[in-house]
Amino acid sequence: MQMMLQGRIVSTFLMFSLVILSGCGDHPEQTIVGEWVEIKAVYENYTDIEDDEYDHRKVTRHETEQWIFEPDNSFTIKRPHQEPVTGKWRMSGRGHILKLLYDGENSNDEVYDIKELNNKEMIINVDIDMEIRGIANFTFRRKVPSVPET
Amino acid sequence: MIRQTGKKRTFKTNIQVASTLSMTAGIVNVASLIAFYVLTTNVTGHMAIFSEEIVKGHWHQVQILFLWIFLFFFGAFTSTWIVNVVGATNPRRANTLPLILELIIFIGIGFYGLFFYEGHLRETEMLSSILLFAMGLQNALVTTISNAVVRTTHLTGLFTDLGIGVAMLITSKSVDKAPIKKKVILLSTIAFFYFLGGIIGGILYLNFEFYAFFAAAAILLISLYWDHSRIAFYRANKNTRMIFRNRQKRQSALNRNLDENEALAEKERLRNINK
Repeated sequence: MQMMLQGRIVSTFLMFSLVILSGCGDHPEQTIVGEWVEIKAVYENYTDIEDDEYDHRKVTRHETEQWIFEPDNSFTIKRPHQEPVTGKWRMSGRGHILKLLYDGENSNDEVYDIKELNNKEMIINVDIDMEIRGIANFTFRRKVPSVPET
Repeated sequence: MIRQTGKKRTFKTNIQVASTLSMTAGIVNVASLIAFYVLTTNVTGHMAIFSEEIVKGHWHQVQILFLWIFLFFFGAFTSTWIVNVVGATNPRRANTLPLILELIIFIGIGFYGLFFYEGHLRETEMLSSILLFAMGLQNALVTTISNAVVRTTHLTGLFTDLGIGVAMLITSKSVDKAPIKKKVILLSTIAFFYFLGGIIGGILYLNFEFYAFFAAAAILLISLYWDHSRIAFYRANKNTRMIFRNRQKRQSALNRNLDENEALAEKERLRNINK
């Protein structure tokens, strides 16, 4: 009798976790796929930080760019009057970290903290392994809506 | 140090379990933070972010955070379930089983990370979930066997108790300070080894990546082996002591008999002389 009760409790837990696993909510790796147009770039406190405190070269300036994320984890960044750059993108954590791994040997990989990601908008902060937030903040709008307007 | 429970536990065994398992937790926590951007040894922060994500309407994140919190709880449930169910038939093995399961998890994560991990979000979520389950296992086991004196995977409550303990040592004059002193030493040991484990985990992950999890597994393995060998040594020692004690008894009995015989012979000799 006791064993049956224990078995029921364990199976309830397992069923519960399965339900949670198969629940609703778009997966961030699917949501990010598509073309994004940069509409805003804010560099808060960027000029206030002394050179010896932080290496400015780590924060790459991204302005009026177009970011394209492919389902095969490749990305292309199109810049005005410049050659597009390519690489691989990865997500981490609970879907709140975006890593851009650039192609080429001498490239600096970038890590962003995703503040908002939905079908219309993406807001990211540069993650520089320091307790400083909002040092460089970029806002993107999806170029082609995932659901066409009727 | 793992098999003793209740009144059999001593300050020494608590120090041993605190130092080894808090170091393991420290290694795992920092390695997973660097690898997956997830803290895997406690759920306080996850609970706060869980609320934040609900407010923001990030339902995927809500789902994942719920799963992580649930798996930490489920790890604690599984550990206690194993101890109670297996403990009913084989109490000696019961306490080691959750640690063996944890050991298998660390080795599995190390191998997966080295040979299969590609850095996709699904993998990050899955591996973090498994580690949170493992830490739930460890925390519940340590809490159970030490009567809630030792907790090795998080420090919030610990620093509260440490603050109270240090203040009591300094200010209070009427109470007996010896047990408080012992508690402060124990809590400081946990904090130090958790911190040391974090440093080791960080260095190992940055240099050798997923091999860091093998280091955590190695500490667990050494603890289990040492615990087992202590039992074996005690058993062997017990047998040796019994043999020695029996031999001593026989010898003293023999000596007593010899003394009695000598005394009788002496009496007889004196009687003959008197005659």
